[in-house]
Parts: sequence; C-alpha cells; structure tokens
Amino acid sequence: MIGIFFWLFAALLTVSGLLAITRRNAVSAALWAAVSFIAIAGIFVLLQAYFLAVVEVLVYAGAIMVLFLFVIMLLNLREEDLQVLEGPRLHILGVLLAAGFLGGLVWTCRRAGLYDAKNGAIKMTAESVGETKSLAAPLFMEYVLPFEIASFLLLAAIVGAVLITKKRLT
Amino acid sequence: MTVGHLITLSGVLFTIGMVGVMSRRNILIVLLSVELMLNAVALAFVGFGAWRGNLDGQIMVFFAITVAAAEVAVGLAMVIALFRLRLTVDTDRVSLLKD
Amino acid sequence: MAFLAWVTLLAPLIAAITLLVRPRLRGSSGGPKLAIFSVFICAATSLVFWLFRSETVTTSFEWMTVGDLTISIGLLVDNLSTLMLLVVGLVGSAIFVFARGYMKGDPSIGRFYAKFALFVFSMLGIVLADNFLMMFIFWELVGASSYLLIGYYFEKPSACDAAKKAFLTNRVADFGFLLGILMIWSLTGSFEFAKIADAVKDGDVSGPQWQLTLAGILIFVGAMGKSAQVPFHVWLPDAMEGPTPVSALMHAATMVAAGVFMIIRAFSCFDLGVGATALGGASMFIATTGGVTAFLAATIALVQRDIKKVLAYSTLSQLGYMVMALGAGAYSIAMFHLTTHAFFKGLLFLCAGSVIHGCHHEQDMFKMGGLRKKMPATFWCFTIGMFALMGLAPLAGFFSKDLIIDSLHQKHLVGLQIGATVTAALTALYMTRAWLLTFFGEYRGHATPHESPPVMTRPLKFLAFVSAVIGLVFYYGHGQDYLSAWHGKFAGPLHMDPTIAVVSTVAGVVGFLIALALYKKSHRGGEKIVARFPRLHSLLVEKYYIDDSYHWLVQNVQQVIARGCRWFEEAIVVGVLVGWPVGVTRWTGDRLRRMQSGRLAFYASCFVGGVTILILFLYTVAH
Repeated sequence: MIGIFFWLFAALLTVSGLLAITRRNAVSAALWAAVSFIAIAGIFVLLQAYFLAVVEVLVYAGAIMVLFLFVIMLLNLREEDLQVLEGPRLHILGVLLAAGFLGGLVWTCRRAGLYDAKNGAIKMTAESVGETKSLAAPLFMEYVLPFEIASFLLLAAIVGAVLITKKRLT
Repeated sequence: MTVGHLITLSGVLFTIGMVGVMSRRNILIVLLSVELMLNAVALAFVGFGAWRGNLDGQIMVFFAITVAAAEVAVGLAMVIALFRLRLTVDTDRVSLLKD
Repeated sequence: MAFLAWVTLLAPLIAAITLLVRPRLRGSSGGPKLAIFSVFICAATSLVFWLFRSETVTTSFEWMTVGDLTISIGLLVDNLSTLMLLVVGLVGSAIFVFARGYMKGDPSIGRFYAKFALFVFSMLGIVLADNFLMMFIFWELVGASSYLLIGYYFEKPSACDAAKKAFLTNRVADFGFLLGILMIWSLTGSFEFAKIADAVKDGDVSGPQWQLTLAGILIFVGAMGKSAQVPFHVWLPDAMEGPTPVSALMHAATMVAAGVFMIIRAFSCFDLGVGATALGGASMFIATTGGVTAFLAATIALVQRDIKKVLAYSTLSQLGYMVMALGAGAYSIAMFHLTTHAFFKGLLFLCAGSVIHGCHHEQDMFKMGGLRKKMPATFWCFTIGMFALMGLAPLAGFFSKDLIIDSLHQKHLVGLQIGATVTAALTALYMTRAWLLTFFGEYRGHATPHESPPVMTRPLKFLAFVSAVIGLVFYYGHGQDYLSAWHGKFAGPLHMDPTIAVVSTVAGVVGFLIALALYKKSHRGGEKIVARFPRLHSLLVEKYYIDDSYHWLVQNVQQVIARGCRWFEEAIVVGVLVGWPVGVTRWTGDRLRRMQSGRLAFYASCFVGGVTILILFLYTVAH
C-alpha cells in the first residue's frame, strides 16, 4: 500500500517539478511548484513526518508560494520578457551536468547498498513518529539555541527585506 | 520503498531544480528552482532520518524551512529592488559587474 | 622644577600648533604675539633655572620597549643645558621681537612665526634631551624646521635650492650621527647620557678602544653637519637665503651651536677626569677640522660682497674655534665661546637685518656706505658686536676666544694655536672691512636709508648690552663656577695666560689697522690687492672650489652610479623580474576574463560542474 502511494507521489513530484521549471509563464510555474510541494508533503506523511507534512503545506505551498505569486503579479511581466529556456549550448551543458550528477548519486547509492531490501529498509518505529509533541521536546531542549538563532535570522530577514524594498535609503 | 528510492527521488528533484537554475533566465523561476532544490534536500533528510529511525532529520528540515523562508523573503525583496532599478528580471541583462 | 622643564619645552610647540591650526590667528597681529610670548616663557623659565636651580633636574617616562631596548623620553636640566636654554631663550626672544619689525607687512607672517616657534621647540628638545635617541629625533626636527625656514621665500628658486642643500647636507652628516649613536648603544647598551657615562667610567664597554674612538668620530660627523664644519660647511652660506631673523637665530646663534652643544653633551659622557678622555685619537681629528674650518672660512669672508655672507663665513670661522676647543678637551671653554658668540653674532645678524631693512632689501655692501649718520643706533650696536667678535677687551669675544687659544697652547697644539691667532687677525680684517663699507664713506645705493623702528632697535640694544658684559660676568662672576662645574669633572677655573691675550689682541689690532688702511678712504681700497693676487682672489671668491668639486662629484660620480642604478632598475628589475610575472598575469587574466560572461546561468553551471566533480572524486577516491 505504502509502496503504491510512494510511486504515485514520486511520479507527481517529478512531473510537477519538470513542469515548474519549463513553464514560460511564471504564474503557472509557481502553481506547478506548489503541486510538487504538496507531493513532498504526501511523502512526508508516508514517512510518518506528520508535523513536517503540515508545515510543508502551510509554509511552502501556502505562504512562500503566495509570496511568489504576489511578487510575480506585482511585477506584471510582459510576455517577451519570458523566454522558456537558455540558448541550446548551455541548455545541453546543464542537462549533461545534471545527468552526471544524478548518475553519480544512483551509482553511489547502489554501491552503498541503499537499494538493498534489507539494508535500505525503512524502520517505522515509535520514536521516529514526527508528531508535534515528539518534535517539540528536542526542539525546545536539545536544540533551543539553534531555535533562538533561527528566530533572529527571521527577524534579520524581515528587516532586510523591508530595507531592500524601500524606494530610497535615507 | 527503500531509502535508496527516497534518495534517488530526492536526487531527481534536486537535479530538476539544478537544471532550472542553470537554464532559466527569469530570476523568479531561478528562485523557484532553488526552492525545489531545498525541498529535495529536505526530503533526503527525512528519508535518512526514517531509515535511521530517529527524529534528527526532521528537526534539521524544520530549520531548513526556517532558513528557506528567510531566503525567500530577502530574495524576493532583491528581485523587486532589481526590477525597480533595471526594469527587468532577466539575469543576463544584469551584468554590470562584468565590465 | 621638572614641570617647569616641560613647560619650557612645550610652550613653543603649543604656539606653533595653535598658529598652524588657527588660520585666522595667522593673519592678525595676535599670531606673532603668541609666538613671542611662548619664547618669553622659555626665556623666563631658563632664567629661573639659572638663578634658582641647585641641582640637576631629571624627569623621564618610558616611551616604548622593544626586547631589551627601552626608549624613554626624558628631560635633563643641568648646568650645561641651563646655559644653552638661556642662550636660546634670550637670543630667541630678542630675535622674535626683532622679526616683528623686520617681517612687517609680509602676508604670511603667521606662517613665519609658526615655523619659527617650531624651530625653537626642536632646539629646546636637543638641549633638554636626556638620551641620544630623543636628541636625534629633535636633531632631525631642527633639520626639518631649518628646511622650512630657509625655504620661507619658496617662490624664489634660489631659496628652495638653499633649503634643499641645507637639508641634504645635514642628512648626510646625520647619518654619521645615527651610526655613532647605534655604535655607542652596542658598546654600552644604553642611550641615556648618565648610563653611558657610568659605563665608560667603569670600563664596562663591550668593545675595544678603537671602536669607542670611531663612535666618537661618527658622532662628531653629525655635529659637523649642523655646525657646518669643513667639508659640510657648504650649506650655511647658502642658507642666508632665508629671512634675516632666521639667519640670526638659526645660522648664527642656535642651530649651528646645536652641533657644538651636542658634542659637549656627548663627549662629557666619555670624559674620564681632568683632561683625559676615552676617545683617544678622535680629539686630534676634531681639533684639526675646527682649525681648518676657522681659517678657510675667515679667508673666504675677506672677499664677500654680501653683508650676510660675511657674517655667515664669520659664523663658520667662529664655530671652527669652538670645535678646536672641543678637540683640545676644553668643553667648558667651547661652551663659553658658544654663549658669547650666540649673543654677539645674533646681534651682528640683527644689525645686518636692520641695515638691509633700512636700505630696502639691499644686501650688497658696495651699494651701502655712510649709514653711520642715518642709522646711528644700528651703527653703535654693530660696532659693539664687531668689537666683541674681534676680541677687544673687555667685550665678550675677548675672554672666550683667548681662552680657546690658551687651551690649544696648554695641549701643545702649536700649529692650531698659530692658525687661531692668524684667524683672529683675519676676523678683525673682514669685520672692519664690512663695518667700513657699510657705515662709512658716502652712500652708494639708490634707496633712501632710514633708521629702523624701535621694535627692531630695542632687541639690538639688549643684545649689545649682553654682548658687552657677558664675558665679564662669566670670567669674573657667577659663570666662573658655573662653567667649570658640570659633573664636577671639567678642567678647573678659567684663567688666562696674559701673553696669549696680548698676542691675540695685537693680532686683532693688526687686522683692524690693515682694514682701516685699505678701506678708510675709499670702498675700492681692496682692488689693488686683488690686482696683485688675481688667482688668490678668485680662489677665495670661488670658496676654494669646494662647491664646484661637490658639483663635479655629483655630476661625474653620483650621476654615473645613479644612471647605472636606473638602468638596472628599468632593464633588470622592471623588465625581467617584474616584467615576467606581469606578462604572465596579464596573459592569464586576458584569457580568464572571458569566463566572466556576466551570465548567471553559466556561473551556476560552473558551480554545479565543480560540485559534481568534487562529489565524484570523493566517492571514487575517498572510498
């Protein structure tokens, strides 16, 4: 059962990701990206990362994509500004590099035995269930310092974004 | 479904994002591709975490999402500033530093 | 007392800085007043030291420590520096006041006074320094401020050249001084005078005797620059390009005296007791240098036409006397002559300044004449200064000069003693010549000479009074003990051999009478002599061809070396050593520049390619 869903989400993720980077129109690209985020959220659910799945949908497919769409519409780009892809040479180079990268990855996973049914099996234990409560405990105890630093990072990002988008720095 | 499949899926998504960054000239889509890559990494984290049977991967993704949010905010702000300055979102037309 | 010493040192500096940073003050009359006030403070404090100080004042703080080497900034007020302070303070005050009249109407009088105050500060630094290094710093400051003052009329090319010449000549000599300081440091491990003196006394010197002698000679080379001894004397006559008060203060009374002062200060460290010194053969070299300078300068002075040049060569000659005394080990007598000379030579220069001012900036004596009636105050002051210089009893020069000849006699330096006596006659000759040409006969110029205002004549009268009495004061009064009391080890009380006094006075009178015979009737009296000895005359006019030989040396030796160095630099250093890397870098840069396409996609591809290669490398090799 899980396997079927995995392949379903995997296919959805791949297709929507490909569509997201090939759409001429930025709005449809962003919407396809949102679909791919939802697919990832689905896989998170399969892996018992329930909290992250929710966060993925809320933050990525929700907040970040809304921000993207908002900016796209704010800029209101004309049609001729939007070419689909680069010139053929660079395009081919990019695909070749990507293929090399992916090939290397698969080869390494194979060598490490990650496809092996026994070695690479995913253990669904009670400890690895990513619910809100089970994630909160380490987050506020073990990782409290990075957590606080992350809040400062967000603050800096907010101030920075406001400062950068201001019309004139005075 | 083994961890190898998860990592490969993550790699596929990462590669898709990479191709987007390398071949698109619209800076908005470049940013979008970066988001895809970040998600691919998040997927890899969760996959490895599940394989090891603990929550560390998920905690890491939590922070990655935080950083991604910050990155998007600043990145999009810069896109707006850039557009205001040069009236374009084409990365190839923003090459003053070349000269 | 220590506080007073700091006040003395810093007052002129504060005045100089204030003048430099407050441009409005420079234009007004407040600027000169401020500078004059600061020098008055120095004069007042030096008088306090002179009258009320009972013991040596020392104060110092550590400046920096490098390894074993500790460098301190400290002040030392003993009998020697008090006397020198008095000279700088009193002569300086008179000249500062005088300059207000002389420089009146000059648009940049504030700049003049700022530099003047800076100079006094540097000079006081030398006087008060308690170690060699600090002295050297102020020594260089004196050089720098003299450069500024000689080149005061910077719009005149000759003034700029003279300033450069003075600075460069001094720099060459200063190098000797620096080497000497370092050598002493390596021998005794200290820069401080007191510690060096102790080390020498205890024989705690890490080197053979000849090294100490060499160090002494090197230090003396430094003094030769500032005190303008042959062969470093060439800058001093040219330095007369500066305003006359500058000539009076620096090139007559204080700066040139700094060399002598420095030698006294330095060599008192090497003194082992009455008459004995740890310097060995250095003294002979010093005495000879002084004698040669005294004689050569006096002969050149005979043929000068410019009143300031006569006085400049006279200064050289008198410095030669002081250096002779140093060579003979008579430090206190050298200091005595330095003191008296500062007053009467300052006086003479100011008189010359007054004359030049009165004749509308005419300096050629052959275009003066008859000024006795038109400028009576200047005339009388000049006369007093002249007789003081010639050594007429009981004026200042009589005591100090005869004591120097006496000290030469005691050391059995017969040649130098004769030379000094002959030079005394020559001194009388050229001074009387200048005196007659300037003040007697008919006026030969085109201006309407007039007496200078009181602001200028009052300092003249003050200096004339001091020049008249200072010899008596020192010889019979307070100064007697004072001069002989440094560190309690300089040769006993001053006393003069009457025979020598008579001989040198006779020499002076002979010179005076010869000049009178030649120039009393007409200013052309010297032409007969010139006609008879044309080659001797041109030799003197050309200053023994020393400047020309330097010129030749620079042209034919230094220039050749410089050209060789230039070729080496251009062909080898720039062409090959630098050229190669430059060429390679430029070529590579040209190629690599094309990678900077300005296309973000390309950059990203490069990045991804790099990461891919790195990952593959790690997968394959690291495993």
